[in-house]
Amino acid sequence: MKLFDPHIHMTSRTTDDYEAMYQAGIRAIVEPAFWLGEPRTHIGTFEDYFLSLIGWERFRASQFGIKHLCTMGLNPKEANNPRLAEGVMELLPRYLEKDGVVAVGEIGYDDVTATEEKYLIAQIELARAHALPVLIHTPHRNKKAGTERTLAVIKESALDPGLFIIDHNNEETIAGTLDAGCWAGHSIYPGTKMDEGRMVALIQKYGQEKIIVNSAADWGKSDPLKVPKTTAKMREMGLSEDVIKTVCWDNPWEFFAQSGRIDITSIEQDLPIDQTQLHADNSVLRGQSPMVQDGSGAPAQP
Amino acid sequence: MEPLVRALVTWALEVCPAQSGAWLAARLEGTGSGQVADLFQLFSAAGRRLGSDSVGPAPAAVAQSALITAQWTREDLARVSGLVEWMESAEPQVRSATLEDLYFRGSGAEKRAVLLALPALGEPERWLSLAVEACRTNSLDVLRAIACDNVYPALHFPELHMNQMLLKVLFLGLNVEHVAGVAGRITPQLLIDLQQFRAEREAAGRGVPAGVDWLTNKAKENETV
Repeated sequence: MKLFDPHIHMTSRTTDDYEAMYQAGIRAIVEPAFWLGEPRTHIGTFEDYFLSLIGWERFRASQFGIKHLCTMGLNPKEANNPRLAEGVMELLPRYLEKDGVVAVGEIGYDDVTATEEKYLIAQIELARAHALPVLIHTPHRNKKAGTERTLAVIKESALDPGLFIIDHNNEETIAGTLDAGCWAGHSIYPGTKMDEGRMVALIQKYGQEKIIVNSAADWGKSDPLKVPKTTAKMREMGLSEDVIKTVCWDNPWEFFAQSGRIDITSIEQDLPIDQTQLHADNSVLRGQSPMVQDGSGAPAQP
Repeated sequence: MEPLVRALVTWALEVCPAQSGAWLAARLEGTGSGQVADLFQLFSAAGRRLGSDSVGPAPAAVAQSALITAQWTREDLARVSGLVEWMESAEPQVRSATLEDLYFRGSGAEKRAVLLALPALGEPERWLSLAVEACRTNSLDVLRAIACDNVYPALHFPELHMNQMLLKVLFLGLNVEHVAGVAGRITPQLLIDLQQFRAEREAAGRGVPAGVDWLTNKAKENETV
């Protein structure tokens, strides 16, 4: 079964991860713009990161047969940095128009400050102006209160709640998210956030409509195979293939297709792989034989 | 408006998908009146708005110009049209900065359009450093846009950069026969470079690209003439 990981920070991951993800069935990903661990000190590094999301990282994913889409936004942590925030807001209108940008995100609350709220509201307005859906990050601390406050801001915006994914949900927040009419994202993480068994239990309780599963893998201890591992748990716990496909393939496509920037008819065709291609003086290979595969499902040719 | 600019704009609107016609017309109206915001928006969004279908045969005014459009797509044509139209009315002091902005803050497809437009921009010396910088890419699409079916390098590159570009075309497997005007740029130094390239490949047990022989034979034809 083809799988979609709609929240993963591949900039932080290796080519081994891409290979393992492809082998496990992942054919599409969304990489939300986020912080990079070390706080940025210059607006230029933000812009180079945006360019890398639509350039080098998209190319790298394509070399392993994975369609790479991204979201752009001012993340909640760095929204609190006045030396950067306004500069990023000035960049966004241009970058939100670029090919392969399918949402504003990830935006929302981290410490739940007034500054974070100001930029959350401003970026919801950007989403309206650019006709894009929105990927919302919910805080790791004070999650329930932060999620409720996010939902109140969304309601106040009068934008269709179906244009929002509220991400990193858990047992305490999912009902409120779905009741508000938003999509509910869940990040399956080793040790924190949500695990595979708890995720399946949520689907058994709430159904599959507007439910989304991702790995949110980044540079920390995380696992880029959590979507396929969750599908294995779904089978083990008796969910049907239809339900699994809805949650791990159809739902994320349906959500991001609201951008009007995805050709739904093209997604069933696997991407061709051609590792003889290069990008800006770089190959993903380091002396290995390039793999070429035509996208028909035929075995890879070294 | 110059006849070439008018022909490009008319052609871009003709081949535009119906659902994006109003959007493109508004952007081109903006670029025609010097609105840089419309130019930036056109560059960012042309791919998803207009798609990458081939544009087909060029109208006479374009076919007779320095532009070689055989491999152009709808998004290429729209970006080039908007750019040359905007340049026509822009103050000279902002032209270079805007062109560099479009190139360095653009995706691969946006970079490609900047390079495709160079032969139609006038003041060719202004764009030399950008065109040379573009040859430092190994993105095949970007390299192809400056090196193949583009008259700018053969007309304006100094020998060092022309030779470097030709070696890169060979090295990355592009067809050197598509380098516009290449026959007129074969020099003794290029032949030495090609000899060295051949020797290095043979010493490493690797094949020599067919373009090396093609260029060497072209040099002999030139001597005969």
